[in-house]
Amino acid sequence: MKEVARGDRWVKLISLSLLVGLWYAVALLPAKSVFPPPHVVLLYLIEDVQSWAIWSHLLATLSRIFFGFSLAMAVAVPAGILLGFSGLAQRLFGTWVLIGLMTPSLVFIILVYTSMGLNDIAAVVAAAMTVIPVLVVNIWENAKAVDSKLVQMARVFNLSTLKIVRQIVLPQLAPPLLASARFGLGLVWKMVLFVELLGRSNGIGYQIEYYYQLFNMGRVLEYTVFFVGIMLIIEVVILGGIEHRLFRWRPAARLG
Amino acid sequence: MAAGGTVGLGMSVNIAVKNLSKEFAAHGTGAAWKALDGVNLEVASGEFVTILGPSGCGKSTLLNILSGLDTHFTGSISFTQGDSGGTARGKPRIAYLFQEPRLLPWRTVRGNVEFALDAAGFSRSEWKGRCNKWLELVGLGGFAEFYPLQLSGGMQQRAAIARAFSIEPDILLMDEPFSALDELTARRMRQELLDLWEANRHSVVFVTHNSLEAVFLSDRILIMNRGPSSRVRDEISLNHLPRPRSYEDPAQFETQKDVLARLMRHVD
Repeated sequence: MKEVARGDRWVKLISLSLLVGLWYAVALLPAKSVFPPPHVVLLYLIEDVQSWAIWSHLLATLSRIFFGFSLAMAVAVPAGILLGFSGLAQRLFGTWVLIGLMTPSLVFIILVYTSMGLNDIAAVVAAAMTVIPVLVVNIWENAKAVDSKLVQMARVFNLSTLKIVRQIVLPQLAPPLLASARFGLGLVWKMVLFVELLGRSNGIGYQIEYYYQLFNMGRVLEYTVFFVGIMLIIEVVILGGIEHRLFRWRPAARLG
Repeated sequence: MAAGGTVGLGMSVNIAVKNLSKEFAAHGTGAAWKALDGVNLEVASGEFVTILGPSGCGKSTLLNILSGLDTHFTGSISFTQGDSGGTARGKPRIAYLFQEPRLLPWRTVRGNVEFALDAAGFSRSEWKGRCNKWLELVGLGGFAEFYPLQLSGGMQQRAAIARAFSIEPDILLMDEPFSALDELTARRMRQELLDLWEANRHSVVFVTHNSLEAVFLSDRILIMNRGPSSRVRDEISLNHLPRPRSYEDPAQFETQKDVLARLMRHVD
């Protein structure tokens, strides 16, 4: 995992160039004033990152993502595990989750804004609420897959229930939980932009909406590229680092 | 740890099973499968008893009940401490060697042994010494800091053996622990298991369908029939075969033929 094979690197480079090429192709089609080519967007970006404004919008959005994501995980992880292990919880709350899944995100956001007001707390709650049902289902499915043979082994060796949860169940849930966290982060940041667009006056989502009103596609794309880049770094550096630490035990090769 | 506290650490205990029966109910239909029907058996303290039977004879069910994993049965099981002749009915310390190693893949080999020591209530200061001792004895001295998935199947099962012996169990239950290994590795490990057991005489209940293995290892073989209504149908003492045993010994070969013939009678 540490070393990316040389061939792999080439494939990634080709893939990225293709994407940029595609962008140029689209930009050079008839409506080019609407859809600017990559280098124009890049120039905008270079100009903007030198001023404070874009960073303050980023900070506002990132903090909403952070709190929204934390809130969503704090609700979804225990709820998902409970649903996975308890038949009663499943019968009681299974339908709630389904209804939550079917409810359009827009409805959640409007409901929260109208009942809590147009403020940052409402924004965070709204973003979290839209992703909680999806996350719960995701974690619920994974909780069903815990290996009962290891739990049996631990019981024979007389391990207490609390320690079985800590030493047998949670380590097995760690990989799917991390996958759920990545998935959840991806969902939350998309919803935060949506929430900002609907009811905040700062943040990346608000900026994108603002430039959209002005029909300035260059700026819209600039903010998009900037934000996607930052989120990619967070994904790869932070979550990738956690993954590497958690899964050291996975084999590179067998000894024989 | 042991309820009642009267079962000593690492002492062998007698096991007496009387009229043990177990039924599995089919989901929904009310139909039932009588897996065990009136099993009677005794294991003397420090004795190596093998339960031999075809698959589906309820061997694993019996072990699950003996280990306390399965508590839904009728009949009685009692454990008494061997040496003092006391009649403690507390829960003895049990180690179980499964068909697969069942190691925790996210812990090193050392971590897996420590896991059992922790569960058995050994104080932390003892862990390192015991760990090193038992890993050394099973030939994994140099592999303490490896993760299970880095080791071969045989080495993983050795680690499981170290884990089982390290807690100085009163009773060692084994469910075909060598059946997933190739015959050469299995032969070596049977010998290693016997060496460990000779030095630490726990009462052993070993389950297998392999008559060669049963004759090589045991003091006594109990034969169970194919289900339903499995119970102990036949009993063969192997005290006439001296230890250490060898697969090439003609007397052992004759005994194995006899055991196999008697086993076949209960398969159909």
